[in-house]
This record gives sequence, C-alpha cells and structure tokens, in this order.
Amino acid sequence: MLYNYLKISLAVLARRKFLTFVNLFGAVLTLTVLVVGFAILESVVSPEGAQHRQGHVLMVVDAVLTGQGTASGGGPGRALFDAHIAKLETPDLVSFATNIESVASYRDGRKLSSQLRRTDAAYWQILDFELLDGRLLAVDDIDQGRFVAVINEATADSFFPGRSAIGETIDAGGDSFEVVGVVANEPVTSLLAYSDIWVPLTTTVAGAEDWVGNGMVMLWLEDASQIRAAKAEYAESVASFVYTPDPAQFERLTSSALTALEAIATGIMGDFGGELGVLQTEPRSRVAAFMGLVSVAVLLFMALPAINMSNLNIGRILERAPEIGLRKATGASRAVLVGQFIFENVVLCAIGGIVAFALAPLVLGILNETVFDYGRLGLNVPVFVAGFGFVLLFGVLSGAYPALKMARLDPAAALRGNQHV
Amino acid sequence: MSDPIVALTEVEKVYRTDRMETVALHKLSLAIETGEFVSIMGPSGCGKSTLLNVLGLIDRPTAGEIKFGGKSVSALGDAELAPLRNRELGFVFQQFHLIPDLRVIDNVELPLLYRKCSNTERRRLALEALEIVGLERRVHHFPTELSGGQQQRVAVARAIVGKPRLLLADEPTGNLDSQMSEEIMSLLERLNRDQGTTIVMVTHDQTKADRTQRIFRLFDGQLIH
Repeated sequence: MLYNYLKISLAVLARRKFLTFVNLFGAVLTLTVLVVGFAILESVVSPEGAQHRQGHVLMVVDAVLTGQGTASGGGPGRALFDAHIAKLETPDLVSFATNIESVASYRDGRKLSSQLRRTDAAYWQILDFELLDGRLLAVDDIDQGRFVAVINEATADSFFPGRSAIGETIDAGGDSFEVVGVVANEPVTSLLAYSDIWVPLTTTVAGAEDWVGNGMVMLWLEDASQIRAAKAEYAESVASFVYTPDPAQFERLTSSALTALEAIATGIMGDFGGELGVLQTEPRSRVAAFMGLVSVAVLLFMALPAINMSNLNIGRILERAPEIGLRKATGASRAVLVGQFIFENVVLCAIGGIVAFALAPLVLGILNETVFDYGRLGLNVPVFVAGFGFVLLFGVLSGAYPALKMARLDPAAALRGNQHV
Repeated sequence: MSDPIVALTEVEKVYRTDRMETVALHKLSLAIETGEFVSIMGPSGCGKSTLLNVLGLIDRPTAGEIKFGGKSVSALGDAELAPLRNRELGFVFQQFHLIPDLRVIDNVELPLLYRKCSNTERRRLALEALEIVGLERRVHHFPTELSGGQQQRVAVARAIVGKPRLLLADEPTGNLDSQMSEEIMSLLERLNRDQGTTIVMVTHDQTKADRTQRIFRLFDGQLIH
C-alpha cells in the first residue's frame, strides 16, 4: 500500500512542477533552519572533543547569597568552592576555573584579542584535551603559582607561526606567561573547555575571598549513576551555609550542582518566581520549561510555512476530487484517506529534508568559519534523528488540514465533479 | 427465498441549497435480487445516478431505509460503510475514473489496497481480473495509452477484482463508440452469466436496457411502470 501511495505522491508532485517547487522551497528553508538550529543546540548540550565525557560532570554555575533585604548573585566564587565543594565526598574530582575573559596581547606591534581562563589542576583531569605539544598544567604549576600557560593551536599559529610555541612567552592581560603546552582548539559551543589561553588559577589573587564571582565549578563522577547523590550532597552542604566573615550579612546560599542541560536551561530561562534573584524552581522544571520553549519556538517557526503549504495543497484537492471519490467508492475510509494524504505530504517534506540535509553542512560550515570560534558544528546521528523528526512533524502539520478536507469530500459529488472544498 | 441483495424502502434524497430544494428521489422503493442484471432508465436529471449512488452506499438518502443482504445499513457510519463497499460492491463509471499516474495493474489493484491482502495475492487477483476482461497484455500500460474501450475494460477489471456481489455501472458505454459499447455490454453479460455477479446499470440506451432482465424507469425521482 505504501508503495502505491509513494508512486501516486511522486506522480502528483510531477504534475504541477511550479507548485511543487514553491512547496519544496518552503520545506527546504524551514527544515534547513531547524536542522542547523538543532545542530547548534546539540553541540552545546553534548559537545565532543575535550567535553566528550560530559555525562560524568556536574556543574555549579550559579550562586546567590541573600540576607536582610539584600542579595548578591553570580557564578560561584573561590570562597564558596573552598567551603562547600572542595570537601564533597561523592565526586571523585572537583575543579574550580574562571569563566573566560577577554584579554589583549601584543605581538609584533599588533593587538590580538584572546580568551583567557584560569584553572586548577583538576580541570585538566576532568576535561580530555587533545595535547598537541608540550604538557598540560600540573599540580605544581597551580601550587606554586607559576606563570605558565597552555594555549590552543590557533593561538600558537597566530603568535608563533612556523615554529614550536613551547618555551615562548605570551603576554596576556598584562602578565607574561611561558607557554608549556599546546592543545587542540575547542569550539565556543564547548562552554567548559573553550578558551585560547589557560593559566593557573593562582597567578592572580583577585577573587580569592569571593563567595560569588566569575567562577565555574565542575564535579567529576567516575560512576555517572552517582550524579543524584552528588547533587544531594552539595545541596546538603549548601543548606549548612554560614557566611564568613560576617554571618549576619548573608543568611542563605542558593546554588545547585547541575547537569549540562540543566545549566543551559538555567542560563537561558533564568528562574521564574524568584525573589531577590533566589533560584526557586527545581532544575528539572527549568529543563522542562526550556524544552517547552524550544518546542513552542520550533512549532511557531514551522507554523507559517506549514499554513502556506496547506493552502497550496488545498488547491490540489479539486484536481484530485474524482480520484478521492473513486477511492472512497472502492472502500477507502476517511481515516485511510487522511493517512494517505499525510503520507504524500510527508514524502514531499522528506524530499525537502534530503535537500535540507545536503544544505545544512554548507550553512554549518559557514557558521563555523564566521560565527562560532573553532566551530565544529556538523551533522551527526542525533542531528539526523532530530531532522527526521522535523520532517515528520512538518509533513504532518502542513498535511493534516488538507488531508482532512480531502477525506471529507462527498464521494458522489466528487465523482460527478461538483465537489466543494 | 433469500433476501434481496439490496432493497430500498421509501427512500428520499433531497439536495438543499440556501435558496432551493431539489428532490432527487421521492419515496422510492425497490429490491434487486441476487444474480439479476437490471437497468435503470430515465431522462436526464430524473435521479438515475443518485439512485445508483444510494444503492452503492456512496450517497446517503435523506430518509428511508437501505438493506444490503437483508441487513439495514442506513445508520452505518463511514468506518462501517467503507469495508462494506470494499467487499460487496464494484463501480464502473461513464468517465472510467482511472488514475492516470498508475499503470493498468496498479489501477486494478486499487480496491485490494483497502483490505488485508498480500502483495502476491493482490497481483494474482488483478491479473485474473485483467484476463477476464481480455487485457492481460496491457498490465504495464498507463491508461492514456489505451483506447476508450480498453480503459473501460480496465475499470470493469477494477470493479470485479475484489469479487463483489453487486456491480454498479453508471452509463458504462456512454463515452464509447458502438463497437466498444458492444464489447463492454458483452463483458457485463458474461460477468452476470458466468460469475453470477448482480449488475445494476444506468443507461440511456433502450437497446442495451432491453438486454437486461428488468428495467426500472425513473421519472422525477419516482419509479414509473
């Protein structure tokens, strides 16, 4: 039966070529944007490269202190890390690093802007950087506050073209660092790993006493099934918060250990219903709200081209009315006809999907070159699966209304040619 | 005595628009016995095709009762009528209504798509039907590659492929020349005689009607005697 439907749908598409082109154009455009959008989201939620073991990592990206009519919020600070994270027993490793900051460097009279991140030693154990030359930052570098740096390949090529960067000096943010290692570029979508230059956390005293600041904490769990236990342990620790040096200044600390998706959802959705910046919703409900927002955005984005395609398809009903009458007369029920016409529309969208899958790598390639530093956006299995889902959804959305209209045609009138849509 | 294959009792069909009401069938009662070959005659607009569509369960009467094989089908919904049409009824139309994008064999297989039937069985039954109408050598042609008579024979093959008990033919020779008309009439007679298929045929042609066992004459939506 499906083969018969397929033959019919291809023949119908071939009948009115311009109409088919207009329909296909809308489908290709819509599906390409959706596939590209999903590829970007997927690269953030499940990055490859140094963050490929992200399923074993929890993050602490938010910390809010509240007191009598006052609140202070931001990323976790080093004081918070020392008081509530360093002593956690469930994680196998914990790491504190700063978020990236833009720093200026000068090379041969040229001003170069780079991203710099300060890290501890555990950062390099948790993330799996590809070492291209030299070594990674070690415990000694951190403990002794050595002015050494690991740089990425692009920075090495830019600062030290044609030679090894190891042993060279790089100026960044007013300090000079000896380059000890070169690692592969990590894209901007890898939120934990992305940077140009990494230096020991201890090369600055700024922020050492801060509870909230520009920090980013990772909790590594060798056994990923311990994620829930680690979250609970951190929550328990946060509940026993006592602010130093003045406990009266802030009475409460709000901070959670989050999975990557929860962290992204929190970053994008914020928190609904919070007072004084206090996170009140559960991470899971933030993820649900985020996924809901993404779904609504996808549906809204599909709606206009789907309505347009529906409109064009209704025009085809009249020319196919005798066929519909015949199918009904020979025993096709309304439900069967609805299924057939939706299938036909899905075939059209699948053709659009194939073209979209051919176009998407080109668009992603352009984005990698222009918008996303060190971008690695591309098609992979999850993107294909999502793309297939988009094709199906778009096919059903744009085909359902015309299909219902077609299936409701009165067979006797349709066979006479007196049909009204 | 067995029940008529199809029986109408006091059937009315009224077409309503905002401004007018047209009575196509008026309190019409008739019964057609299994194995009969009957014709329906009457002037244009008298309700012949409407009657055929009501008998074929593709048009619902405004009032009255339809019994098929002794069981009332007046109250059945689309989901129940569709399989009944598929199993028990075959249609032949004046305009053939073949799907131009499908080959002859695929057109003939169409009714079998709507019932549980394997691909092999479907193909076998379609070839058998095409053999009955003498078109076994045209299975891979498209309808537009055939003459009008051949197209109508394909339509007949499609109508009989599911082995229906009742074949409804709406002016099946109306678009054909005399030679091709004769081919189709002979084919219908053969189906009635050899296969025992009950046939109801709408026609304008008295000579063709005379070849059937009974003639229902219709005028202004009523049977006249």
